Amino acid sequence: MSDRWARGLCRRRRGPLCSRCVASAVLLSLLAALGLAAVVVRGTPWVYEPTSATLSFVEPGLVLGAVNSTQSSASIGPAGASANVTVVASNTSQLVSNPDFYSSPDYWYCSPGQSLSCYWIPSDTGASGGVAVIYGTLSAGESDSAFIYQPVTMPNASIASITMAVRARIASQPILVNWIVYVMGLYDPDTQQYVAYQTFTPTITYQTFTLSINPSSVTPGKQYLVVVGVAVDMSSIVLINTEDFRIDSVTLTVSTETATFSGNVLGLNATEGVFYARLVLVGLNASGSLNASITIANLTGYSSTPITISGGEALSGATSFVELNSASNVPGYYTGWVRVEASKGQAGNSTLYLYLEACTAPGGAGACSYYPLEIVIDPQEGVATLSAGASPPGLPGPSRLVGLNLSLPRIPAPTGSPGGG
Amino acid sequence: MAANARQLAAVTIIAVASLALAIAYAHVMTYYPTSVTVSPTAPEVGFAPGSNAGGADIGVTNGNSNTITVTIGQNATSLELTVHPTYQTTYYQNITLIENNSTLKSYSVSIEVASPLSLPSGSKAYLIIYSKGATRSLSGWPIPTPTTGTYIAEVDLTSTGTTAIGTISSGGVWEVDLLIYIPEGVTLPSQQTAELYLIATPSS
Repeated sequence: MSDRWARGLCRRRRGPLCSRCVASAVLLSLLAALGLAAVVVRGTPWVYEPTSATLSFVEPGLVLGAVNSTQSSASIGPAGASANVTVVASNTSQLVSNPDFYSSPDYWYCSPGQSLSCYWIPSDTGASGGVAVIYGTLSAGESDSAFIYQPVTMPNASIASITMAVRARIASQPILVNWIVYVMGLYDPDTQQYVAYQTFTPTITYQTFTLSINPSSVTPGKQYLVVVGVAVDMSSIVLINTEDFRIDSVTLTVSTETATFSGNVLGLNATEGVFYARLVLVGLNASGSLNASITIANLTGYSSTPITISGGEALSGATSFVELNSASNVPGYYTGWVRVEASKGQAGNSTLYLYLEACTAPGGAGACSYYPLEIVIDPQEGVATLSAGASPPGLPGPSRLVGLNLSLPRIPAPTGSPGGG
Repeated sequence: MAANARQLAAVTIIAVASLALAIAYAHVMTYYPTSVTVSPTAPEVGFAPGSNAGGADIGVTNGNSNTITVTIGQNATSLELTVHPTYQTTYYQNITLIENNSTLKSYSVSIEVASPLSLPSGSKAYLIIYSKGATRSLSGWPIPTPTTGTYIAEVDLTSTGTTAIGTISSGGVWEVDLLIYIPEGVTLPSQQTAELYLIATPSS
């Protein structure tokens, strides 16, 4: 056998190259080439750099809250990180948020005086739920005033009538005053003038006082302040010097020719840290008659630029950023709100799909949370029928209203009143 | 068996074994002189802090505000990220950079997820790699995701595997974002760590 193998492979020693020898040489060359190629491939350096990503989960630092009213309701996700909102656009809209101070003073601000300031108490004889209180101890010869107020936005539609109503009483009033006046009205912060006002005389029991405002005196879509307050000028002799003015409810009802809505639909509560938040419109299923403006505002009175929808088309897709700082929280108030102004002439729902984008640093930096929001706007004829609800967050005991450390002017007593300037 | 026969068998076995040993040790051992020189070089592909490294994160731990923690090894060849996401979608933009510091070579880069995150059902966790300065764009509702075509690649941190990212040119820089989605209604998971490798090899 070995002799045959030797003869077969080594015939070249005895003559010309045979075909088997050539084939063997080619095969060996191929193997050598493959081996060389393998060496080259395996010789390429592969660098492995270790990396780890650790997720340490936390509860949301910014949570959504429901703002239920006769014209809006909200369903909030279990972690407060999503919401479905239904808004009923109606021909008759009540514009004041938390009109009855039921469980907190949320949405209401105070323009305090030297001795008089604004408070909230959870109950009072003859009142429904909590009441706002303007209270203070005055000195002989002192002149002072204080007001509660809330920004409202007129519907962006033809307005047929405007009626303001205040339910109030006095629990204590100074005696031997030069004059004292109780005021209710609608104030224009731009002109720093009352659009309309009236004085009234509360008694020891709650009464309702109404003021009819000429629709032609307001601009549709413009923001005003609903104001209720007291101004007093003490005499030089003091007997009883305590002013205790209690307000159970304040409403501003507007009738429009088309179905409208104007008000807060969601509360934003920053529980930890600072967030820079905006709204981003990502989807719209709107009827051609929908005109809407959606904004985000904070407790200091700052409001974003709006998402604007006109004729069912989005003209702007995002608001500007608004700072929501837990350090500036006030008990009984949300840190901020989502506001909707809408008008709609045709039947059928309009649905808006948005994100609340809330970042821990300005300009979309830091960690950014995206909370999905769905807002359905449904026009209804006549008065809206959603059930009324309390305005969270509720308070267990008395508290102060947010003071006027705002960029808004101090509200004077009306010109022409005994205490007016 | 006769004694002679047993002796013959023993001799035969010894002879065969001896022959086998002889064959085994008959190899010729040739020693060629060879040298291997190891010349350590600085890594050319590595990590650097992104613009959001050290930035404010969500929540408070032990009384201190959380931060986006990015720890890079001394030679920029290892990386540890720690973030504090919450429910719904939490997005961290530009938390770290992948840099090719070579002035000559391009590198092919992959990311291997060796140990994935274990998150509640329906959750998502992605690293998203962008070119330097790329405009971010999220789309979709109610879960936003990076718009296709705006990024280079995304790496799913919830499953093992290797994702080819692409070729980073000499001097090139990529920005790395992180997207986490946790559905509402689930219990927040305990701390989770994904272990990865950035794999780089010269491509030119």
